[in-house]
Amino acid sequence: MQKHTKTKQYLDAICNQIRCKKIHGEIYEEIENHINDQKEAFKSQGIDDETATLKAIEQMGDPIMVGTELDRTHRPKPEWSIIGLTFLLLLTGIFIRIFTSPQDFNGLELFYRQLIFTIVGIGLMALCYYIDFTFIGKYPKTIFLLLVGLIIFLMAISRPINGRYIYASYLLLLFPTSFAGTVYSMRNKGYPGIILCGLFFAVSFAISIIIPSITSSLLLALCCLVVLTMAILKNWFRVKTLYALLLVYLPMAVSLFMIFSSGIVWKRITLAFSPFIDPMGAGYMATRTKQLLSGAKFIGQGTLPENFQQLSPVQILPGINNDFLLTYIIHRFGWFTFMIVVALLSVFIIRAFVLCTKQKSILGLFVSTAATLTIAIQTVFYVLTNLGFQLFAPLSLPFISQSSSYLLINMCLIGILLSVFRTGYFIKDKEGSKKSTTNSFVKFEDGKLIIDFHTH
Amino acid sequence: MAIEKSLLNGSTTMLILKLLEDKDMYGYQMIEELSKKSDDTFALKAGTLYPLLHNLEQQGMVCSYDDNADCARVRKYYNITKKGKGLLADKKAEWQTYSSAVNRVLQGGATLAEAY
Repeated sequence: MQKHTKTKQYLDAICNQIRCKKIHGEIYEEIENHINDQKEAFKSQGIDDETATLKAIEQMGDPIMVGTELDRTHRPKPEWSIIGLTFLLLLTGIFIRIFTSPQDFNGLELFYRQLIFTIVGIGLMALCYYIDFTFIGKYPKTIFLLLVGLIIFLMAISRPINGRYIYASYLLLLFPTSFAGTVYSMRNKGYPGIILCGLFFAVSFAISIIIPSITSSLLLALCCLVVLTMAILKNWFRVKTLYALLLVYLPMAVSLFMIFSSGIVWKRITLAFSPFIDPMGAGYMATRTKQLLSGAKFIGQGTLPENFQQLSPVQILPGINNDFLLTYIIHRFGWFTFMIVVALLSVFIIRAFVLCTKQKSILGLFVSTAATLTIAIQTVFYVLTNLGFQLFAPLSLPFISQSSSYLLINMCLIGILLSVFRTGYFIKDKEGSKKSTTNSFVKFEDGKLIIDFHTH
Repeated sequence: MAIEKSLLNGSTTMLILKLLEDKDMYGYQMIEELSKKSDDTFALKAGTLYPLLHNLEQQGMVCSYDDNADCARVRKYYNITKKGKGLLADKKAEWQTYSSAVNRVLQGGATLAEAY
């Protein structure tokens, strides 16, 4: 018994020096293994068990020094690049707000609104940052049900505006991140695991259709597809990759075929490419966007389309404060502002994706990819619509456009993202290493006692 | 023969990377190999090795994975990355410059003596 306590004392002494608790398990295991190896080596030289243990520990060196060294290496580091870029983007949003106060609206009021939401958003970001993101992988079902419950509650208490449950629609953007947790929890669950993931997706997708927010539906589908594909390619479900991919992509292909065969989509696509065929109807916004852009300069105020000389831009194109902010600043200040904004967002997104690929833990990888994709897809959709390609309605330009509630949701996503980048390196996907350790023929898994006669 | 500690410290990184260049290893194995290959000249303490390995891992020079390849116990194996191979090449070059300089100085007396 004494050998055990001595080793334990030594390992505890090391771990006490390491402030990041998440890494304790891993270090404990690695060094314990080492001491055991060393002990066995001494024992094979004919030294008795207890002396061998003591000698092995002595060989290790001063636990305080080892612990301090390891603590230095494993200190959680905030990801300053993402924090800096986020603040830069928020500032850009506020800056644009100061310079664009259309006469028709109360510019000052809009400015204060943006300021308040930005501050609340930073608070939310900080909150999500300090809540450990691993809860997404620990309680995926609870999170999913809470999210669904909250959305249904919001739909019940609010009236649809222009046929859409606006307040509920914002929360849709949290589904991809929640889905990442769901996929994570399906490790080694085989084909049923994939089907269950599909069911979770189907529920969230159905909700987005009911709201309805087709853009969110599309965003949701894309994010979930990427995360699920990644999981399959990483052999997360322990099934044949090809069959698993077929299981995901075949139903998708069938539903795409059905959607396309209905004909409505074709009409929309045609309209998106050439809005001029219906300039006063469905193609109105896109036509006006393109007209405003055609008169834009590289630097400075652009000219208004011929028939609209008497009008202000806000009368020509409604929504310049939220849905068409980019179009407006291109018209008002020139293309260079557009370039600055798009460059900033691109740097942010690329940096975030690079950090995603560096994640060691699968949960960190799934969650950060889902959150980054949510922001990236919003950006792409927004930029496309603002350039006149309006296949879908824009959601928001992350951190910049005046779409207050989306700003809050996006800030939550950034908080989660930063939390992953801060501690993601330390999270180990426990289950796996544990499973491979159990070589004994009696296992206890998922509440079941398994006796396996095939192991030796 | 035991070598002075300060001389060893700087080159330990290089030696570890060199070991990993041949094959993936776990910590204990590295110490054993190092001691075997150097005829017990390098008796690396585990307390020095692990912080160093974890540091190298964080810098992306090596990466680790769990495996129970040759025994019942799961071990944390380390594998050298492309970046790590680059560092090894740099360290080797640095070492060669250093050691040849030392040798030149040490032999310098001899050549001077020959000249006279």
